[in-house]
Amino acid sequence: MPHIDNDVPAEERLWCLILALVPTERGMSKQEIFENVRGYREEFLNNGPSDALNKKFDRDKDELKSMGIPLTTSDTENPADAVYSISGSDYEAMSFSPAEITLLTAASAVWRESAHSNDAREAKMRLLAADVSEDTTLVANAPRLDTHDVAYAPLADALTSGNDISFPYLKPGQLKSELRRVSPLALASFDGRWHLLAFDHDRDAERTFLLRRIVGKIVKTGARKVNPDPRAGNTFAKHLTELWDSLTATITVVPGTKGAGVLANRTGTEVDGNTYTVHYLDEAVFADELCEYGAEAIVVEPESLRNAVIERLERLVADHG
Amino acid sequence: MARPPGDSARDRLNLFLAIVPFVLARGVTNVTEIAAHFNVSVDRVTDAIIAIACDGGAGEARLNFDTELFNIDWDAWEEDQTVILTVAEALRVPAPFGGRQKAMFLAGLQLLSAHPQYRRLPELEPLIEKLRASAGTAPTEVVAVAMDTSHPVANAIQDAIENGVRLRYTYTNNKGEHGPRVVEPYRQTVQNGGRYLQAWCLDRDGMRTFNLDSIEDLEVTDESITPRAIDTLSLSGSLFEPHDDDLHVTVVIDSASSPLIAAYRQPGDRPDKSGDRETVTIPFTYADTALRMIAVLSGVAQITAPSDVRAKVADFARDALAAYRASA
Repeated sequence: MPHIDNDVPAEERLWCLILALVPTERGMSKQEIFENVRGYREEFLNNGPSDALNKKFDRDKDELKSMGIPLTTSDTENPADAVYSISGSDYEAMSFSPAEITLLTAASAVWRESAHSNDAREAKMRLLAADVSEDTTLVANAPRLDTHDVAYAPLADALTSGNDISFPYLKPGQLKSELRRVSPLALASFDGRWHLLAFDHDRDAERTFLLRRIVGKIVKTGARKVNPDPRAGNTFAKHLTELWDSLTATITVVPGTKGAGVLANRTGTEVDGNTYTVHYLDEAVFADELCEYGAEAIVVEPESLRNAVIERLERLVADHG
Repeated sequence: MARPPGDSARDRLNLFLAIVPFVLARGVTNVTEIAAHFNVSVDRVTDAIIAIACDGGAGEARLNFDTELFNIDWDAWEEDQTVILTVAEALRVPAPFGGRQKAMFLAGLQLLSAHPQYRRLPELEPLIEKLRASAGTAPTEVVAVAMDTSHPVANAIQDAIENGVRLRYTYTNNKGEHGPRVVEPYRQTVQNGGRYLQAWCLDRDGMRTFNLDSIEDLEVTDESITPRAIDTLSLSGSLFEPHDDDLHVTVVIDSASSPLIAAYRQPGDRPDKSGDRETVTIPFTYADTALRMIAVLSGVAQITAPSDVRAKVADFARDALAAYRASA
């Protein structure tokens, strides 16, 4: 009778699973894993195969894969016959020079205070494992990208795990949110704001969403029906840039005010005395933003933007009068 | 049992995986050195070494497997917690990066490449290609960062950060106060739809966050920054820190839309819910900040108290409407 140690911490169970699968050419079946691997065998010997044990194994398998551990499942007709293995050569497939490690460290420092902070921490540990002395100024000087939008983390997760999702969206210019059912395709930071490109199943077309206007829980609704292009992020960012370049408003500003300063510093603004030509991405979003500057920035044209701002200001008076 | 962030089972497993190549690279090391290198506690390293050495024994991780994968020099360990791997038959290199990490690296490298200090490094483009190639057809480039690389203020600031020199400029703070500043720049951040600079302000003698939009007459000096014992990596990115003399503003918002004001709220505040509306009190340093927050949320949220702030919002909007009528 083998020693039964009922209290194996999760990290040791995962560690033992890796140690069990790495040295095997052939791999191990689930039954063999349950009978032999520390962390599973105790429960298996006590209770036999159970749903709980199966679920634990599925979770562990997904966890290791999401960590980048090359755990593969053999392709068998009957899932019960599947064998699991970790290829040592896949594990060692990529190596990085010290200069590359410095750059990767700087690239993950970008995300330190973001929704990717877990990924950044995990990456950092692997970069440190290589034990190279990095150029610390390159790392310290790296600009930071924040993802304060609560929607960011679940969206990034749905994107990488290949899920369809639904969420309540408060469309700019509207007062009530609406449930949207989409396949997420790409995330892009543009003008310091995060945008989601997704295929909207109810509209049967691609739509752009502002992350800060996703006002409720993001629910996974099944496997992704429409798949993103592997480089969809770059294409999306390029599309947003082109849209920005194509839309302009003429705005009269009061010099020396906050509104005048902010609009002058905005990407692409052309200043002609107190008259600015200002670029924007979405009329409703820009109308909201212009309300912040009140009398400091008055829209001359387009007419629709001017009316949108006036309507918002009238509502502010009505709500606070 | 919940563990604090940075100490999940996954974090601990990552430490096991990282320690093996590190110890192999050093040859001889000890618990204190490992803990310092990975910035984790000595206890966690001790647990990790024991797990590596014990589970690495023949038949330990897996019954009937009679090959030893890992072992340590136990005498050296007992003596003074010196770590020497005497057997290491697997996992000798750092663990490969996962899809999410590759996506994070690619987007991060993209942001870095917007800055000359990084763009001119010969390794940058080949590294991006290498990560891309390793991802195959997996969608690793679904996160992208579009940066305006021609932003003159941002570029000048990044040059100053790279060269370690002071900046002079005129700054308008949230209170509307306008004045000259001399700062020692540390880092730029992109957040909440804006660009910010984290810098040591010589006029205020402390770290401050500056909105790039409110910087005018920027001058990059040739005065070197003062070496300062600041762990520049640990600077907080938070923009709002509560103070005793804050103004407390009551805001009513549709519960469904309340995430729109999340960035202004204090952790742990308790909104008062009634029907599908909720009421929350938010501290502001300046009335002007509250006014500007509510102005962009026209129709979605209202300020109900204090009454003078409420009146300010109405007056602000009336003035703007008057300016619109005058321009018709």
